[in-house]
Amino acid sequence: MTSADWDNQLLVRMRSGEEAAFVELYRKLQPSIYRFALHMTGSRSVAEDVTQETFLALIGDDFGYLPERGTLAGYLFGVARKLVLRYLERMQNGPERGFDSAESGRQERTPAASFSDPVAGLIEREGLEELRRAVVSLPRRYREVVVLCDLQEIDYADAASLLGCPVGTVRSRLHRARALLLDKLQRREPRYRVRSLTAAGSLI
Amino acid sequence: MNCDRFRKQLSEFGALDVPGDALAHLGTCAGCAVAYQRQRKLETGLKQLAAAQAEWSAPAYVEAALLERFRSESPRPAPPAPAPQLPFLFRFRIPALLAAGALAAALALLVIARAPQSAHIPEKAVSQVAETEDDSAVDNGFIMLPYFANSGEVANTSEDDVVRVVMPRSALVSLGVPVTDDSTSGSVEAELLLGQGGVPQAVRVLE
Repeated sequence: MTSADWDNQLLVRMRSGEEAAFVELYRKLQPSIYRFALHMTGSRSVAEDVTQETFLALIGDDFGYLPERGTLAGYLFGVARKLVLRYLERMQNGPERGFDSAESGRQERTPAASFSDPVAGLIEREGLEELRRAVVSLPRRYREVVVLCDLQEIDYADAASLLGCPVGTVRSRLHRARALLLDKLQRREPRYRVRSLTAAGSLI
Repeated sequence: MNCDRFRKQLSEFGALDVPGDALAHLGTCAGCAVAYQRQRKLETGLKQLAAAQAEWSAPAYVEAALLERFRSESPRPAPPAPAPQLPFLFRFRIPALLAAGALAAALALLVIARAPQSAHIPEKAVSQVAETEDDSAVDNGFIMLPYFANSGEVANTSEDDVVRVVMPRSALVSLGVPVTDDSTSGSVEAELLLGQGGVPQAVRVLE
């Protein structure tokens, strides 16, 4: 039995009122939805709201999922994505800020790789928080592909299915997104590049 | 491989998955090597970010709120309707009463089976018996028993006072019922017409 089939079985059991099936389904599917919403909005509280609203839709009577048209995980992701986009539209240009979550502090303790060039040095010194900020500041269409393909590690085909676009579009957006990230990282904190180069003895 | 082709492959596959033959170009082009290294570091950083956030999930209170909503909105299988509760004493009295009733019914049947039938006889039979009291036989086949025929008393009886019995054929002789010589052995099925107190008044052989 595939994971999607098991999800459908859980959904049937959940619909019949089995609480354990709902809990299993929620715990299995909510982390990716929560992370997607968090990366897209940069807000922990919004990510929580999106997660809650998504699963409230699952509980509701008008939940329009059809197994023959895709997986339950994909459908829920689509619900979550609409909620995120609605939030971003309300915010107009989207967030230009870092994460407001407690995870930010926790993230600082994550050991970074040792890099020798300016960008790598920037990541090393500032930690992954700066990279995360750069991701959140990407335009929405580029942010989506980075979140899905790089941070959620979904393959291009699935990402294309979730976003409703061709695989080639995902590839090109991802390439463009990475270029934008590199550019942001260098433009945002030039002092780190100078320091790094100074330390290497290149400027003096 | 030229720079354009290398950049195209770098775009298509990413720095971490670029084909090996494309990497050979890096030794001949410093610009592409720098671009490749920068992108490789970025992709590595993104992988680290993904790994660091892999355990992120919604806090427990989100699940609690959803569960509460689920419990309030989900269909619940209807519990079986509880049996109506009887008062405490009745819960124990009913079986006892049923048992007592059954016992009483059994005793009544036993008494009825053993007791002589109460005196009732069809009106028609009574009148016929009265009209033919000089004879020992009546129209409906009943033969007045000798001791009763002589008393001349006929009780009001009904159909309920006719009982069917199996009796030795020889007993018919003692009752004064005529029998043939070759039919004195064995038993015979007969009906007795009972008077008051269950005293037989007449007999009718059914064979």
